[in-house]
Amino acid sequence: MRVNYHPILGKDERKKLVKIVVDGREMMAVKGEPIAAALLANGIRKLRKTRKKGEYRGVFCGIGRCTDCAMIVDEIPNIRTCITPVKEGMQIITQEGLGKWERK
Amino acid sequence: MSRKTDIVVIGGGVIGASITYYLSKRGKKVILVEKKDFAFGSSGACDQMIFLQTKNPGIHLELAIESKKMYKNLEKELNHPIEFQTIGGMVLIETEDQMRVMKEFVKRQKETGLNVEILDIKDGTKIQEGLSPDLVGTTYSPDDAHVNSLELIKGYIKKAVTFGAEVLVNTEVIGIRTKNGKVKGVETTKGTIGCEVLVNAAGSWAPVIGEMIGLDLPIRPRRGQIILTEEVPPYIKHDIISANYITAKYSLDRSFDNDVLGKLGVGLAISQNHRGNIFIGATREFAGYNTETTREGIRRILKHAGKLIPGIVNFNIIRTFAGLRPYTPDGLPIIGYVDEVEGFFIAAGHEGDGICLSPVTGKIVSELIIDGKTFIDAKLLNLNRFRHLT
Amino acid sequence: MSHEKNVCICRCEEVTEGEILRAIEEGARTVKGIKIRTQATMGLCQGRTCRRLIVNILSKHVDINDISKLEIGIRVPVRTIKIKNFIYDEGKGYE
Repeated sequence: MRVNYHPILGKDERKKLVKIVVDGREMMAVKGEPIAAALLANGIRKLRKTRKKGEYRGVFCGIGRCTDCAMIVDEIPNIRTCITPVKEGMQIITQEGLGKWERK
Repeated sequence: MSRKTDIVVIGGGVIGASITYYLSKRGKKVILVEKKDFAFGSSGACDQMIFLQTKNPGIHLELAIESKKMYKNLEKELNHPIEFQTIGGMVLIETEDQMRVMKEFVKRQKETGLNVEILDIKDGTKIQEGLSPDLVGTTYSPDDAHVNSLELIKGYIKKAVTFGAEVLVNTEVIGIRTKNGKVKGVETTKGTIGCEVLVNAAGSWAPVIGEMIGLDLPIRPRRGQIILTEEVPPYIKHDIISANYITAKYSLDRSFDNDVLGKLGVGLAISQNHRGNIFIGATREFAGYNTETTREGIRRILKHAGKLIPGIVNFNIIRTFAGLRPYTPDGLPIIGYVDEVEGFFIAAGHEGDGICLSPVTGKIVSELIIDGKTFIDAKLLNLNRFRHLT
Repeated sequence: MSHEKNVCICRCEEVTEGEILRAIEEGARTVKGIKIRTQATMGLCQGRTCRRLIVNILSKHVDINDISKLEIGIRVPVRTIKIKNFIYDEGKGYE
């Protein structure tokens, strides 16, 4: 789901792509776009599961304020994916509740 | 509105809630009156620790050890989850001077019956990751614990209500009725309550209640600033403080402390709760009843914490707050009847030990009021020990 | 406000409107009082999303002529910030 032609911004001419890994699956993202945007473009809307009721959350405010979009990125949980740009080789995992903190 | 009861307890924090529970459990009719809402005072702005190692060896530590024993069955007794965990505690030692002071402190603690040892930093790092290798050593006691103070209060209140206690929030005590030198009742913003006994468990605000009968209580609010991190998976495995914390609390030899640390009374106190938030504190400053956090205070606390436990520097902080510890000149709470007015009982002044001493305070208060005596020499905690100051 | 009592008000702590109304019934008259009973505003966003909604719900049950009495509890920091940013000395800049 991408906006390939925008009435004001015009055609999406961005060519530089990076590879990211989401829950073990490789996919392509445009270099520098927010993680959540890359996931949406690849059809992924469920970003994390809540701690108490296990409900799925996705993008809510989109401006880094509400923390609904938090995922585990490169082994660090609670990363707000709507404002964090993708990088080559980024490991992204759906966060369940508190998440796991692998690195020391 | 006018009503009558056996005992009115003033203050909806861990002390007031505990006293209400232990009194109702033994059949007394109790009404708990809280000016605002539960835990609006120090009980809702604390680090949740039950830290036996910070208690002064002697009666203070004895009370703490007894209180901790009572905690073991409390969750079952109250039938409410209070997140009580015995996770052990460590005091981080930065310099040889501090090591000297701590060795003496530990010796006295062991004499009082506390299970505590001094470890070198290598062994310390084995039980808690992320400690600075520059530390000289650390203590360790397996008996330190922590609890969720908000759930504790809720637990006490719920159970007390089943025993017939009544709880009034948003109800401020504005006057005390006496006749012939005896307590007759309290005037509140919601009417009068007649009673035989009144327990002043208002913590840092106990002097406000004391003034209503002309008492000048030696309790002053001592602010402690605390920082809260985001929820992270288990990292801080024990209650941890720095030796600075103990020297700040008891104004021990601080000649080796940095000047600013000294003024703000900064000492590290760090622990992680059930949900994963890490509490990082604290300052010890006299700032009246102001509960704001200051830029300098937060910076000094985090600098100190980052120096002692470098492993935490990448965590995010989400909140800062401050609580007012009710400070007394000798570090012990004031518990007991006063001479001036019959029926006026004080149970306040726990200076940073309220959570730890909440069960034993409830026990002592209920025993003194109902049986006239308790398991320790009541004179040690009575207000009369401060008479020479007035 | 909606009559659907299962509406999620505090997204971080998953607190519904029904739970908040129950807290008010139990005596909460302030945002802090609701926080203590339901854990609303205690999550990662510290009430940035739900605080306004809670004040709105309170206003229907409590007489608000003095907003300072609501104990809305906004605290420093206003956004999450890493601890290491406080450890560098003044003048060296923040990350």
